Amino acid sequence: MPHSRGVKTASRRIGAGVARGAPFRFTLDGEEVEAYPGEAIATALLAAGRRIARRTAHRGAPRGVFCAIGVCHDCRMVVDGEANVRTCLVAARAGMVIETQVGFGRAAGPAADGLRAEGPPSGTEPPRG
Amino acid sequence: MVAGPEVHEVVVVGAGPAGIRAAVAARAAGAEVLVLDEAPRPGGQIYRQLPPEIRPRRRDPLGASRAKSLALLSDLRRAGASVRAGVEVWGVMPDRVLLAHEHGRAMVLQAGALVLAAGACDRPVAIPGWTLPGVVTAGGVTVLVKAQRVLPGRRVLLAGTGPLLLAAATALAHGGARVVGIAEAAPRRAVLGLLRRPGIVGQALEVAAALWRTPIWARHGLVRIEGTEEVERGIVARLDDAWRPVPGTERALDVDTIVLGYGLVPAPELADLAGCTLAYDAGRGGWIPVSDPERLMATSSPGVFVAGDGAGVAGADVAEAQGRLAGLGAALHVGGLGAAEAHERAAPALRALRAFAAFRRTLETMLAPRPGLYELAADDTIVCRCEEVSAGEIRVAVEEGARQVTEVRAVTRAGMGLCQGRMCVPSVAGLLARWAGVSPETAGRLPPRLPARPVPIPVLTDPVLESVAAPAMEAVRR
Repeated sequence: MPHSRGVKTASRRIGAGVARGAPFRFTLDGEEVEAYPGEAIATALLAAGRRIARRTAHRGAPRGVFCAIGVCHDCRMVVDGEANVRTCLVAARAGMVIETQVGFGRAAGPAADGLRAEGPPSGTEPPRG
Repeated sequence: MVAGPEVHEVVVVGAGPAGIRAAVAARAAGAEVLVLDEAPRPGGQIYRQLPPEIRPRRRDPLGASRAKSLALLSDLRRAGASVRAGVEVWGVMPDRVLLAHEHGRAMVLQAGALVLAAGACDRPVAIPGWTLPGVVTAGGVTVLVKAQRVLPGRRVLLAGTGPLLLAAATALAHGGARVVGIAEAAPRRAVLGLLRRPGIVGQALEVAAALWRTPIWARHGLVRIEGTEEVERGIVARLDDAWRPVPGTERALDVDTIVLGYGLVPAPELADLAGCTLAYDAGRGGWIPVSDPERLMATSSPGVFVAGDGAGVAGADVAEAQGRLAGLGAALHVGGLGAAEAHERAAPALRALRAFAAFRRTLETMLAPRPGLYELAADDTIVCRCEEVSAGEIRVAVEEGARQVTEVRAVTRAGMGLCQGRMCVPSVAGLLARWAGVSPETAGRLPPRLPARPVPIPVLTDPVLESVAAPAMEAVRR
């Protein structure tokens, strides 16, 4: 992306007490995110301060990691083109293409804009917690 | 011709403290044992291990419980049970036939005796704003901090009740988060009552050391969460005995993360499918399979044993003792040892359970949700996170006569989503009590259905299922 915010360095990783391997990168909606071996996709995104995993089908409300153990399904994202992947359960890998999921499986990125007309409106209603 | 099911003497579902102790006890009694767990490594949620790529250093402030988990895991290794991690069990058929899959490859297993130690998950509570990114469960935040070493945010407010809330706050403080405060619904004497747990001293000191600067507001609760795209603040208030907010005591706290820890809800789906009788027990988390330690954690379904939080929430130490009993029960069932021998070996675990009785009474009083908790939801508060069903829609359904969670589901779709009702049914039952005075027993539960967890479609069409489970698979495909 031309106006990429790049890799966030203000990390929320806990450094004390553990040693990590060499970092690698994947992309979230086209922007690079740094991850470390052993991290789930959701973990690396939280560490980068990116907490919105998807937008809901009917209200367009933002959702993120809630249960972190694979039960709630709220951290579902589009991973390498596959929708509805629970990112708290899947390890991050170098070069993965992660997209914010809209509804039941469209990506929110610019490439998906053309598809918007087909589905329910997204992002038009204020989130109703 | 497809091969029949893989046969094992004892199958243990869940490799947390309960499942591991069951496997070790059954092996020690000479039974052949297979342990299945959906996670990539054994340990369960409470002793979830770091991934091998993240290595603990000698001094690790977040590794305090490691001695206990290492003892469990080394006992499991030495016991000689086969352990298959990364296997999700999604069904139980009559006569202890298990349907499972390993990364999308279907499996059918026949167990001589079955130990269900499937654990529990955090109680979902529909508080206004609870769907905002930045709201996480107490169990979830503990996994993120201890097993993944990441903070979900920097300024954190915790709300709920019980020991897991303190454990989550301790982990966050060790991890460097600013813990703004802990709103504990129970009175201070209940918090102090947690000290009645045998063997708690070391842990209590750890909690005290980590949280000595952190305000713990007893008899307080979260009444609402505010924010546009993510959490921006939490509103807490003093609570009365019914957990209703006391007017005029609200206060706003600017935070980026809110942790909800209103206790755990057992996962009884597999026991339900196995034909075990369930009963409602508010202090132990809700619907649980009926079992009896004196009968080695046997259920009403022959050859099916239960242990751990899935058999009624009581924590990891009780889970270990119940696991030992269930493992002995399973070994006895398959003829690995005689009844006299089994009961002799059971004595230490039964004594351990008796030592926990006072602690468990405290815990059950603390954790049983009170009516005020389910009065927080406003009409526009989402209750079913998957299908985006609001409390107002459920109120209308109740006004139109719905009295059971299945009726609410039929009218509103609450409970029809991917989480299969785990994130909404306790709230729906609470709302039925709020608006129609319905008891939890009358509200009921969602009937068990195959698959008990969402599975990849290829699993359901795998030929391995045809030979053993054709009628059930017909039911699934309908």
